[in-house]
Amino acid sequence: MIRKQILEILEEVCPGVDIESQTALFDDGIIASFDVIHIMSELMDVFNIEIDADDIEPENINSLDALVNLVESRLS
Amino acid sequence: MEITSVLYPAFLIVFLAVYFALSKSRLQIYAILAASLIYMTYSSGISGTLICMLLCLFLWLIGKKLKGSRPLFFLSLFLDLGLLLYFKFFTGIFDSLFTAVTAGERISIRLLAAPAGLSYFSLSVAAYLVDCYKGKIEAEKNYFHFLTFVTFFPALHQGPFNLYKNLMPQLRERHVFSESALISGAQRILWGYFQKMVIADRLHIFVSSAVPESSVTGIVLFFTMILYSFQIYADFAGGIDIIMGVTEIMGIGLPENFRSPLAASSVSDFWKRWHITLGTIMEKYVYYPLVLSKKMRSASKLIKNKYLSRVFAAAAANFLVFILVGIWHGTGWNYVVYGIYQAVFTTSAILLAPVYKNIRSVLHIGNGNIPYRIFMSVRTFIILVFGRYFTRAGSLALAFEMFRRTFISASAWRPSLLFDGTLLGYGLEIKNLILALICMALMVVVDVIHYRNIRFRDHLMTKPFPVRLAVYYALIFGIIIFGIYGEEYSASAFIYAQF
Repeated sequence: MIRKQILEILEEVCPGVDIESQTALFDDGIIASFDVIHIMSELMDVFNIEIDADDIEPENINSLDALVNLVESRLS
Repeated sequence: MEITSVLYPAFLIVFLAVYFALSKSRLQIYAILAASLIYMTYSSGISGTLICMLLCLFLWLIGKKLKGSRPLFFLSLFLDLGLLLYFKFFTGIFDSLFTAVTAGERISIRLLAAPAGLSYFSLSVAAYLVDCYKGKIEAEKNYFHFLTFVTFFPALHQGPFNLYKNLMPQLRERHVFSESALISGAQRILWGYFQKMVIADRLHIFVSSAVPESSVTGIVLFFTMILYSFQIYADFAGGIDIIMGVTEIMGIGLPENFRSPLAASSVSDFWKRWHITLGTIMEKYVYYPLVLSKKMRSASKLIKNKYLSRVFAAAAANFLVFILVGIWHGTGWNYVVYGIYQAVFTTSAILLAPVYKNIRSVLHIGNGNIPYRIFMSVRTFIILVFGRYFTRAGSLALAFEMFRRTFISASAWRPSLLFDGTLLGYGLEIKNLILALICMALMVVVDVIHYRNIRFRDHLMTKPFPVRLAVYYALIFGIIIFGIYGEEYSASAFIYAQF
């Protein structure tokens, strides 16, 4: 469920990109730094979690799995 | 104490001898503290050092009780940033008020000197206070260790900005002498001195002579400002290279402050490559907290346009951060406008990103297209040169006066003006001017090499000894023969040490 919701947010930001197969969404410039802000804001609102400046690191943003891990760690 | 003064290398040699003599003792950190306090006192007098020690004492005491306490957090920020604001903004106001009260008698109220490096360490300390308040780091238990972090002398005058969590553990560690670190650090120090004394100080002669000259207009003034852009880069990066070389010898790793800024493809990209540690502090402690705040997120949702709603927070926070960056550089309106100038380009890049993407797609231009990449770098450089008008001019009125002189007439833009001998009237004769231009080309080459992820020093170490020796001699004799020595052999002050 969490995975599906995050996938929807990413697909809205990067239409036409096969998100599941990407491992360097940020490093490859598929999502720009200002898109990162939007994604993080959506995650905070949708899952009611706190995300901090320190969480905004490429390793947390480069793939769907990384974002799922980030959200799960905040939910727990 | 200027890094380029004769005293600095002597100070450094004595310090390093004591520092490594104490490598097996817990006292090594106190050698750094003693050197830092001597360095600070030499630079800004005993009152500056005492102010700093007192500020650190208050903040260290408050820091221990800071976690989660909002009133203490605001008090500590008020003390830390208040001191910066006082020395940066208000001393001038108090001076003029006092002069008015004393019926024009010129008695200065500014009896206290600002501690050296205040612009730099106050922001690093503010970051420490935020992290303590949020519970991200444990407050420092030892006052003298805290004072060492704040006054750390190699980075005191012009950075790079250091975060407590990165620097403090390294200061506490014991560091033994390493020959390879000495060689590698010395190479970087030599390149730093070369940039400062051969390139920046040479360009300074031309720029400081040509800019105030009202007869310098059009293409000659623009050419002068190109030289100024290289001067400020060689000056700042040269200073940072000396600092990084010194800390490398000490066994302490500081964050890099530059990543090939001349290769930047946009103004936004430039700010990820220039003064990176200021960018990191601004990003982590102003930009992200602002964009991720509830109020900003709610404001974004009020915008109906889907794309604008998505990027509103990033664009608004970006604008504010660049105004703050401008003000950090200086107190005049010219610095505010400098910040706005940078903000306009970086914010419009966010707002118009889909438009730029479509244009690139229609013209079939990919990221790997080299002519396009060069075009973007040159375009960015020209935008930045015009931005430098605001910081070089000294005041907003003078900046606009320089713009007026630049665009005074079409005839002032005849390329022939660069070759008819006009340029030789500003302190540099033909040989010196050619040398300056060769050095500027060298800086472009070095930036392109670094941009391609080639580390010149690693490459050099693989070469046979005679080749390495030749490079060292070229740099040393380059500095001795071509270095610019001001009055009484005191090189001109570092530009970024004055901010």
